Amino acid sequence: MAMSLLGRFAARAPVPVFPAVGRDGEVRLDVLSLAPALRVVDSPRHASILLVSGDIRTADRDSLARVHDQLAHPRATLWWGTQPRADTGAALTVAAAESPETALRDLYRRLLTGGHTSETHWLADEPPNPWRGRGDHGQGGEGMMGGVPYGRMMPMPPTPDLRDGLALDVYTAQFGPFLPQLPPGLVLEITLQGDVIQSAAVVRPPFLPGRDASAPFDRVLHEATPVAAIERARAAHHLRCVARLLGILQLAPQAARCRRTALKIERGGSIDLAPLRKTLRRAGAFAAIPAGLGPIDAAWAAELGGPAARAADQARDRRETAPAYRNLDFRTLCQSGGDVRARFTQWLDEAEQALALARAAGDAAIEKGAPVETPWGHRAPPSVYRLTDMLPGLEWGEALLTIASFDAAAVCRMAPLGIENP
Amino acid sequence: MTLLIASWIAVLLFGAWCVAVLDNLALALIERRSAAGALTAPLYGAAALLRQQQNRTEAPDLLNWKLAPALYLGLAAAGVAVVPLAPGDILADLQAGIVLWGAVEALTVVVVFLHGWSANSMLALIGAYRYVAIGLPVMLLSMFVLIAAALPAESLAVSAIVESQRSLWNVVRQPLGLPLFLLLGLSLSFRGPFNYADSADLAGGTAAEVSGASRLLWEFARLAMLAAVAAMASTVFLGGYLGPVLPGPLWLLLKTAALLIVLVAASHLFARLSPARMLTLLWVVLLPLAFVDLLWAGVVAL
Repeated sequence: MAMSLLGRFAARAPVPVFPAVGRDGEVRLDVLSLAPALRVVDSPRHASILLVSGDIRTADRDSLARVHDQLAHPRATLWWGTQPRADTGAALTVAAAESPETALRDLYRRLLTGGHTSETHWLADEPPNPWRGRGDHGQGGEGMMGGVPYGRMMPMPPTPDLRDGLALDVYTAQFGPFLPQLPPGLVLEITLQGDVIQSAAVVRPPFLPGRDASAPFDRVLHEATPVAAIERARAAHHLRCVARLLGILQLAPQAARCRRTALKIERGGSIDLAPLRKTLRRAGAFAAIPAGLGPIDAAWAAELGGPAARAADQARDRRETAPAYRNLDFRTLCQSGGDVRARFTQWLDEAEQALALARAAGDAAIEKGAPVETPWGHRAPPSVYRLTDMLPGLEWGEALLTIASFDAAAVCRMAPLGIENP
Repeated sequence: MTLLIASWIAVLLFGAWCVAVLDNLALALIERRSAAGALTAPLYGAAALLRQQQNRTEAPDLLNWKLAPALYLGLAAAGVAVVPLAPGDILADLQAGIVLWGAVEALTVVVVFLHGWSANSMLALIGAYRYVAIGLPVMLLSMFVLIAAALPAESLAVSAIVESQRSLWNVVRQPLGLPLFLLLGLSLSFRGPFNYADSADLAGGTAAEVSGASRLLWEFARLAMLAAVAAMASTVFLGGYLGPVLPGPLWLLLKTAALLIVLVAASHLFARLSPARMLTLLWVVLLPLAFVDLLWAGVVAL
């Protein structure tokens, strides 16, 4: 009786969902993060349902299974717009075009009231280190010093700390591909000392801008496209990038407001971004980003292109010469810093400008096949400038801010494959 | 005594619930969405965590990992115990109540570190390291302002500090004290601009690996600790139970609630600085300010 009452109460709580984002799976998640009946959580330990969104690379399958097995019972998996694992039996799926909100709520209610059986482990429940039980006390180590206690991180000789000289144990681990604070798909092997990064290497590269984000810009290849549609898509993209940075600055509600605004813009709403900008200024979002963090020089900026280049004072924008923008009084916006704060400001400036252009554009359209300025940098082969060169010496949060300050295309070019094949 | 113990438990439970409701309202307000269900959401959320399995990480320091949430809640409870509800109505009327509160602050740093360290997990460990770095200077800051508040009373007993405010509240006498002490509140419960332990960039930090009842206890302790800080701040700086017409406990409740609103708003309205910059701010600006506060109080007391 008490259990069923507890279950009924629990079923009224927002559904705790951990999204595992694969290729093309990111943008559609925004809809979920705004649904009051759902709570998108940052750690699989806090979730009851694993929502797999987008295609999972072969190399990421083991990581997905590891994440799945970290969910506390009762747990279940919902596959959204992607093929379920072959060995999961009667897997629950939702088509990419549908919202999984109802399915998630229903699944959670059934999980709590016993209508759906909790999923078992996907991986064998065995220790990853085969040396459990060795040593005098079963601690896993041998020899005079007793070795490394079982399951503990492998201590490495302390090296001079890159920040203040205080030597802590150095440890190495892989982060990603489903860590929500990193771009989807990116796996980094990071060596840390305390909270300061000593070195980083790319294990698996991130995904290029997804289908949903690039659809309005790809449309120009096939047909004449209204300037308003293009500019709305640009504003929405930039606001999502801003939201990711705000999350790292511990401004979750402001980030949610950005995502909500991005959705409204995509749905054709007329939005004034000035109040949002004022809120962010008052929250100290600009000031909280350290000045000079993650700088790029002129050559680097020129190679990346897009808003990252304009944030480093490179006034290059295809819209300047595009016929469709001729009567719209377009001028290229730039920042002078070339750092994280400049890129953050650039996204906000360009989003505001894009909305003004969309309002002024009327019926103006970009001709079929005409070059169009996308909201991200050049898509080109890997750059000689590497993200992993920027990270050593940065504190964990600063490193995440630096990574999040680049658009998906720029991150892809700066984080090519390092250790293994995808 | 039974009534005192009952009120003590009620302060913790009701205080934590109030903070959770205020959090929901603040989030809805900032996100510009409906706040429907804000009153009941904490209860449903608690039920959901109770229905969730308590997980294990690989080779954790299990004793410390399981004990840390209970110890943290115990510290919040100890903090509330030295707050007088009315003249003579105090659960632990210690001659050195302020010192006990200082011990609560110091041990919180230890307990949060243990929570992050014992999970044997990267992100939790980073949260633990960070919290110690920030928690120590914040604690020093609060020691200065609390000693300053004790000077006019010429006593370390919390009840004596309240009585010393019959003519003038400490918030007027030492205007720097209350804002600095509220910063400590954000740090003790690691919220918003002072969330270095359980932050979003660490996917939950020290609590990243915790689920089920352990997590419920941890989150409840965080909320209760904020309520404890607000109760202590209203006692030490706003005259506690002192006030006309209304009964003393009601005054304490109203003042605590007002401070909770300020604390919850500050948790959601301000961005977090990077740890290095926060350390600079603490050592270079806030600690000297706290010292000025102490000096000021000392000169006035002379």
